[in-house]
Amino acid sequence: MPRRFNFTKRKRIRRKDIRIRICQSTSGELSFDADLDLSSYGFESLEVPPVVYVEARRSATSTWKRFPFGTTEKISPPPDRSLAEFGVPNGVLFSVRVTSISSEQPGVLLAEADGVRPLMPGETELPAQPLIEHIPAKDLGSELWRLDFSGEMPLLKINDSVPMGPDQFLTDATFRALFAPAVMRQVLTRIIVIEQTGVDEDGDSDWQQRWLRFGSKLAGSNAPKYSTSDDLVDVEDWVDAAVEAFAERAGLLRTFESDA
Amino acid sequence: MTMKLSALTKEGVSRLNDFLHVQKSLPSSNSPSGILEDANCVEPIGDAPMIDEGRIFANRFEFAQYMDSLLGSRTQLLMNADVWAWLTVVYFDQVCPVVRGVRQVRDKARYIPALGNFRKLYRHLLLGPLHAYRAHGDAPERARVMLAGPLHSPGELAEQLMAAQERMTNRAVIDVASTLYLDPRSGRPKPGAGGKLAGSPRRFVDVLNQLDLTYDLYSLSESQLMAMLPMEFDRFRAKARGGVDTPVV
Repeated sequence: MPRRFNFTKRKRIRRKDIRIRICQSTSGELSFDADLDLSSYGFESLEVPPVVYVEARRSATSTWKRFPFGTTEKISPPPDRSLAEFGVPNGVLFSVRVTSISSEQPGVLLAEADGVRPLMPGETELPAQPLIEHIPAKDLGSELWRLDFSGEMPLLKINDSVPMGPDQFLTDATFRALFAPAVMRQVLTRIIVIEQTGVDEDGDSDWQQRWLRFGSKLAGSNAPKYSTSDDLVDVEDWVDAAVEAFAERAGLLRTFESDA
Repeated sequence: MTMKLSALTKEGVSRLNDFLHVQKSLPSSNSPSGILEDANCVEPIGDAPMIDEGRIFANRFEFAQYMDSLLGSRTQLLMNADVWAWLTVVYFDQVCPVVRGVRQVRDKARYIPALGNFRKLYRHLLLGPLHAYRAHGDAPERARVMLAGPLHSPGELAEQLMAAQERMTNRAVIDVASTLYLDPRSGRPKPGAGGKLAGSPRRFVDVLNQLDLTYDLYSLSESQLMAMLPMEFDRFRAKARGGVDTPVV
């Protein structure tokens, strides 16, 4: 899992101190509201109050926007918090950055929170952390779906032009029966073979560990380590076992038969 | 000769797509200009400005400047991929010139914009420059470092700077890149600014990614960011300060 050095004693802003909600107007325009409580990080002792920025980002499309939120002494959201550039709310994550503007430490990050999931339009509570995000995509050509691993978690891109629409494609039981096992197989193989991430008992926050735990419960054993191509058979067997168990529990074949 | 700015229809985009596909596998000197003469492939757009189809652009900056003045506040046209596909066909000789008897077609996103995906959007050979130009609307000259190359060849420097929106729009980052890599006399990248070795734009981006873990790069000034760069950039920094030229690998 990724580790960062922290020579400047940068603080981590706790998720409980951040509440961000994406709003959608009746005409479909996106914006956001953010409630930040930065009163317990000791910023009041600094001679020059640090400045606060909120950044919205969707890694899969490299869309990014930054909003000044005043200072830690006086948080003041800008009037324009439009997220129109993002098109849809799916896959948008936020960062909160507290930056020094003192002459001794210009531009030093004093505290930050990365990858903050917002409440989506219509949600009142954050749902359990999902294993995968999804988004309608215009850049898939004739492919129906594609996985993107460039962000903070796997992103399932659904072709915007599928006749039934991306939402129905995702929720329709028959379509799910066709693509879900392939998605799962690709994600697990990516983690074990390409990223060569092993099980980390302490790692509870990154998406790789959550997927490995999910796979382990289904397969009944921990994921094997991949070091050389000799390990590939073991990995394939483990992934097969996890995907088979998933398909069985979700009743994918029965669903497919009854809908066919 | 001038013509009214238009858009390709679905049929027109499909024909351009097919042309690019064939051209990629069987390079020739063929042009897709016939698409513009087929009424099924082109549709007018409301409130469209006239464009000079015969105009030759010395570099990407000149094109962006021209389109910026033409489009003005018609920002909705920036989100219309079909307009930019049409412009690609109009200026195809400049975005994909015949070299040694053939046109070398590269990835599709260079000719048909991949809207909604910034990583690919900036690759569009006409829309990308305009985005970079407008990102520095307060001082467009700043964007020249990303727009110094010809329309068909953005170059390594532009590719590196424009690959991430937060980098492309950051004044200090672009100012430092200009000071390091752009020859102020010619307006062209300095020798060595296209490489991958120490001090190159690729290394500049690597260093920015490291600094981003500790600093809020958007809050830094040009001089503060410049002072943070390690010694490997001295060969470009020395030149920028009018120092003695060091050999460039």
